[in-house]
Amino acid sequence: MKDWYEIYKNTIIETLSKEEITKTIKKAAQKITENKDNALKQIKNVEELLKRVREIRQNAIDQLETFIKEVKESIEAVGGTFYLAKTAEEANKKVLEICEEHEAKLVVKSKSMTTEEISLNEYLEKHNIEVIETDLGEFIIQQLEEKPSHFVAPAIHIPREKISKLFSKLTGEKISQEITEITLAARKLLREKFIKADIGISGANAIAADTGTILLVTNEGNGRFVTNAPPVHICIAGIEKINPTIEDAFIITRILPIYATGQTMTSYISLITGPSRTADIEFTTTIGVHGPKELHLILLDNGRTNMLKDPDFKETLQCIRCGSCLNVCPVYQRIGGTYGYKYIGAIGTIYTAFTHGMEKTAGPAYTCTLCAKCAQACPLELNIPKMVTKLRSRLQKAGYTAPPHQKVLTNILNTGNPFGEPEQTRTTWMKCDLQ
Amino acid sequence: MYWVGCMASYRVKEIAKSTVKILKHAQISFETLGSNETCCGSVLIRYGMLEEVEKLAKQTITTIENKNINTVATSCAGCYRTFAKDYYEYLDIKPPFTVLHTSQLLADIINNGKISVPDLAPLTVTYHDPCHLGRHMGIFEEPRQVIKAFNTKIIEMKNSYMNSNCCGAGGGLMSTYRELTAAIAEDRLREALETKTRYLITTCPFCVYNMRKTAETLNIPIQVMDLTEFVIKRIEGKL
Repeated sequence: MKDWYEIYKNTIIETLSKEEITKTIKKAAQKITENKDNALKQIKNVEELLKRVREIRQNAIDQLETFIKEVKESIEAVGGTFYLAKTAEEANKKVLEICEEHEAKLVVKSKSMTTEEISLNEYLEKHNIEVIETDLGEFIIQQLEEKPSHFVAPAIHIPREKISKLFSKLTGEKISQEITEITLAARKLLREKFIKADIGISGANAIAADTGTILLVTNEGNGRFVTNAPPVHICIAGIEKINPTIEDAFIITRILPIYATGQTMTSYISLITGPSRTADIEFTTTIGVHGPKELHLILLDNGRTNMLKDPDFKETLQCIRCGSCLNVCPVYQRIGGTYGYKYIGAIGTIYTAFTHGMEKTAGPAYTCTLCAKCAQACPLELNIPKMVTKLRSRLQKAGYTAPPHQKVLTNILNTGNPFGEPEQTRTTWMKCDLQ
Repeated sequence: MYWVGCMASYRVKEIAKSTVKILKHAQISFETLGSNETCCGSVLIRYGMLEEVEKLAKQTITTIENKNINTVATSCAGCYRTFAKDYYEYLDIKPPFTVLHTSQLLADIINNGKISVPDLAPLTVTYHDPCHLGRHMGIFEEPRQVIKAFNTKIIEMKNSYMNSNCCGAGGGLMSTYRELTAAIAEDRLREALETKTRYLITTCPFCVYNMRKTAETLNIPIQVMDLTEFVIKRIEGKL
């Protein structure tokens, strides 16, 4: 517990020295913000939409426990299975259990922060199951064994030179720095995996309580392959992803791309309600045709109920993970993925506090400048700086005081100023000619 | 009453001196707490040391109250926010006096003709909205009015007003992660350079201290000064 501050401080200094990386992050973050501002101008009823989004999210979180029950009923009614995992360990075990039942050797995944939260890939790999990320950004960082640096663009910090080298190595062919050439190589590499995979694992951008529908927003189309090609689909999502109705859930996915990537709409929004089925033969419903025969929904708690019961932090659960707060953050623009543990940025420090505990969040939580640009960028108007201040207050009570802050406190208590200067010298400046 | 604040008292004394000179020039009667002034607790609030601030806040308010003061003007955007908002927001304490930032006071003084503005050669500057004053408290126009009153044109940075970027000194970072503070200050200074002006005016001693130091260290050719320094230099014909 003693070294958390020094360790994190050194990580920051190390990141700051990698100028190429920070320049790439900054450029990308600013570009997304620019695109977002342009997209917002193009949407005529944006204010109305945002108002609706805020109402929906607030309502969803206020009655979350009821909606969890409704999701269970809805999903079971369409032939899916429902599992509520209290901890990361429980969620991982459940996934493994399904994998073992199907003797799965290969799992394909579409991007999911929730699985990153519970370190699912590492867990499955430890049990000799090969896991392939299929979102291009995720695939790149998985192959390079790096950490994601953005909610929606995980490989935002990696320059294309490095990516072309990676694909040349993976394919054994010379892949140039042309992005189209890189994507074609990825297409070829992954197509085979989609077909071979025993299980597809996805997250969810929204879940509708009334129909049990899982909504998945992607641009690349990998989400469709992952949730459609393998015989089994497992969806893992935090309980906060629930929205009351399918219309509500759609409105979330309507606003998400605008704030996440600056697009007025993404290429694909998949709506998945139960496993694949047919009634074409004698109108007898049979589960499993072209799509998966099984659909398992695993909802993850992992500290979220504690957040829900905590009036200081409850509103965090309204977050739709668009990442627009990161793109405008002066700290993020400088240190990228170093600013956080699993969850990045100021809002991330709050998530991390509940999902991974105080020790993991202490360093990043003291890294926020409290400038409030995030709060201004947030479509939900979440008061992130206030929550960070409250989180710091909890950290102080739990004994996580940064040594320099302790020194300032001692100085103030002893001398009335943060610097520890003698009290009587406070007015030295007056003793010059003021005329 | 003029609330000097720790930064202007100990670290950027030019701000305190300039403020007093302006007040005297405008023949405004005022007092200070002198060596009885103590930290308002702003930095401790940012650190999350809310319990520790409570005693400090009550003590500060009582000291000011006992002097029968109606209006307090602060040099520091952080002190201003603390008095005007944070004591109430985090501690449920409402100070029984009006709080102004010196930029508001200056705008008022100029509007009431208490400062005679001399004939001045035109000047071009840029202005940095401190987070604590601008985005957090909505004070955008008063500092700009003051600057413009001295025959000075403001070239706005790409990010200003509500979109102003932090200088990096906020949130307690200046003591915990100094290197990051300087890096963020550099980013802001580069934005200021894009305006092609030689002067960067702002209204918070933390911003002045941090950006001035970073500009010096990195040889960034822009002069950072507080609004009060700018005003006194213009009055005295030194700028």
